[in-house]
Amino acid sequence: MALAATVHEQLAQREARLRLVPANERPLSPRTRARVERWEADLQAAADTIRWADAAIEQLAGLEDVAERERLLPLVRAARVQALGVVRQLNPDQAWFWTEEWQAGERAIDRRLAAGEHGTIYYTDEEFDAALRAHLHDPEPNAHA
Amino acid sequence: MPTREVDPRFWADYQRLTRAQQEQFVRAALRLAEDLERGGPIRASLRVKPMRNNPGIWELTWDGQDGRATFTFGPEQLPGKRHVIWRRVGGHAIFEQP
Repeated sequence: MALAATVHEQLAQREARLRLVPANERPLSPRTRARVERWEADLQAAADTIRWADAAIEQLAGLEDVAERERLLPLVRAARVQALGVVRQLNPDQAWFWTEEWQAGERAIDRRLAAGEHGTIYYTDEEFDAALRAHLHDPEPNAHA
Repeated sequence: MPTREVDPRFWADYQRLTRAQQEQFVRAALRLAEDLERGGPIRASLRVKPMRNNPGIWELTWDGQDGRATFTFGPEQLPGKRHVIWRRVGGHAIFEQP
């Protein structure tokens, strides 16, 4: 990727993130900050465990020692379930993102992007609208025109 | 308006939505594009926010209770235009996954 395009992308992401900070935001009290830091650390640990478990499950699928694989898989899955429980407890609004099915899809996308593969690019509203319409159930011409 | 990119996985998800859900998503995606084009804040009703513990991925709510989609911002494809990459979309079923 050309340097200019990379910087544009990074700039856009950082600006979008910074726009989320409320103008009237104030520092947290030490007590609240400590609680938030603990909450973030717990959530990070759960997310890390889910990522580890998903990677381990994929790797174990290729393990030739079937007995060992069958012994380990339930343990890894149990750790994943426990970690997802922590996410559901601490950040329920985004727990759906950490389910096995959703994560598998996100990983597949990351792999495609890392391999330099890209989806279809739509340069105009008309192109994007036409694609969305083409994929509608029972497409109706000009439904979104 | 921003340029858009759609991962094949997104289309597979999109096909699993009902027609009504698809229409709801289309309306939300259009509103997001309008807000990005304007350059101001994204309207609160879309509940666009970064995924915690997953930098770079954003979520959008296209149905008050159940509909979610993920996207990222990609490298500029046209000068001065944001580039949105749609990754996945799901309805109520995503909340029932183990």
